[in-house]
Amino acid sequence: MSPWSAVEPGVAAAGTGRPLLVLAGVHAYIGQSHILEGVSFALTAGRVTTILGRNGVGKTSTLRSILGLMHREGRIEFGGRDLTAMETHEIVRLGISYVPEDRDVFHGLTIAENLRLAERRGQQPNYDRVFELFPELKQRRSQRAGTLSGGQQQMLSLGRALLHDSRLMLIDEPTKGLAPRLVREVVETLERVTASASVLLVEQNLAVARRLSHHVVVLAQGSVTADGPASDVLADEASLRRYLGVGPDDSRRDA
Amino acid sequence: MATFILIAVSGLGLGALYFLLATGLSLIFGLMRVLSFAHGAFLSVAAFASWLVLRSDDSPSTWRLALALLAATVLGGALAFVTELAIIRPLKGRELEQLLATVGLGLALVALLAAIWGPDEHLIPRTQWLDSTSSVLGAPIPHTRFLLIVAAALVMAAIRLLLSRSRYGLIIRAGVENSEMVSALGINVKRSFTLVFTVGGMLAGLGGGLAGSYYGGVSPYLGDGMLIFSFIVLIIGGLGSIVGALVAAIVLGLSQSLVNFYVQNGIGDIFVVVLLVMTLLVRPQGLLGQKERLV
Repeated sequence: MSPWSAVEPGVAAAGTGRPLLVLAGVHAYIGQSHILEGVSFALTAGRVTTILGRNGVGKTSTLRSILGLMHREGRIEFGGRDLTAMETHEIVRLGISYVPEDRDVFHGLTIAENLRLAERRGQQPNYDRVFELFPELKQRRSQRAGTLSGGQQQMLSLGRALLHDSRLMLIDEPTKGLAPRLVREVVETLERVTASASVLLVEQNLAVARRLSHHVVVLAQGSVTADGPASDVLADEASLRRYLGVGPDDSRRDA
Repeated sequence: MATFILIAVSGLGLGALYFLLATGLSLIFGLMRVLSFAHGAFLSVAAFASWLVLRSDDSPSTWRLALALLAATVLGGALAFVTELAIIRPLKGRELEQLLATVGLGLALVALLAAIWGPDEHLIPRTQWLDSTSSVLGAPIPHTRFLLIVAAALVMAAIRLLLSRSRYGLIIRAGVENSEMVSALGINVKRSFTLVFTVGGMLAGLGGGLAGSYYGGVSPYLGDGMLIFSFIVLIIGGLGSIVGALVAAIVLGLSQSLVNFYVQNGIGDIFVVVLLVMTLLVRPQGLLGQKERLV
């Protein structure tokens, strides 16, 4: 097992077969707004599936719906278990880790406390892996997370998700708001982390998506408009222009 | 000078009572975003519990006093525990309904006390030690003041230990910032909600037991006034800040007692409201109102 692998032994090797995660006709709401309008797709174990789409189409809401962080209807299955009746902490304990869009590290807590909070009962935390990937977190472990730069906070957020082996990682826009140099660093780290992991990634940066993805799901107005191998979907210039507002020239920037 | 010291120490004792109630309310609001108006009634019920334990003996022993305070603390905690599970949790996310439910519960409990034991004050017998004084710089300070100040100091130390050393403390501090993300780390944050609400009830209960000894009596309405001033402490100190609650409780207790004595009785209460208005105008988040800092 690679020292950076964040996936449980056996799961990565599965690669194919029964989907690890299935969404079928998922609807989600924020207040009166209908955000997801019947989202359906499946995620295969050991691969990186990336959700693409313009702002506001429901990418983050898809991840939040899986985690039970917002009201949703429809069928969401993970490893054959129905998630829709479960609470967030129960879903996470099935082996799902989450790197949210805005890092959401706890500003008043130190780095060490942020990581300690991510420890799960009955499981051995893998601090070696986290500190090998992000040595800065070890050096600054007594520093309050609120005083860290955006890039350092992203390291902490990723480190928190990598503290335990996960069956699935949900990563939401890991490069958002980062300087180009930091984007490259984060993407290189993600390449190592996700090499054999099951990942559902939300990413606006098409070049990043191109580097990391095996499979791509494109969302538009709350539903899936494209779903297929990354090599096929990302080669469809007309669809990219229509649904993302970008073409291949734009997609090679920043990563 | 002796009079000033007596009034000032009495003010600190009053501030200690406010702190006991306000610190629980502050933790509850910080973590759960719930403003509980029931905790004043928990204080009154707990004060009656301590009265029931103490009333049979004209000069109760220190053990009996300890038992009375324990009974008040446990009853306050038990009431809060049941309230969280039966009312607050089912109304999660509906802040207005939660607030109104606590108002209704508070009114109901006070009415229940008045129905059972009448609306008038019942005298609480004090232990021999509590009924006597000690001289501080020539001022005869009633021992009830020392008891309150020591109790508040112990509570402050215990809360700080809980928040800084325990895993629940870590969860509470993180939950104050972002309880959703705490859940997304696989932690059942609802348990922390129940714990914090119960601890708030225990502190209100302890405050009730001590208030009975401080004032020398209990009535169903004891918690009402305490609750109002504790909310003022909460707002001046900064919602969610324990240290802020401590500072504001000291400032309020001192200024209320001193102004009431040296200006005119009643003006101190108005002065406290003026302090509240000034705080809201100059520093709306309160003295130490940073939601990410609890210790």
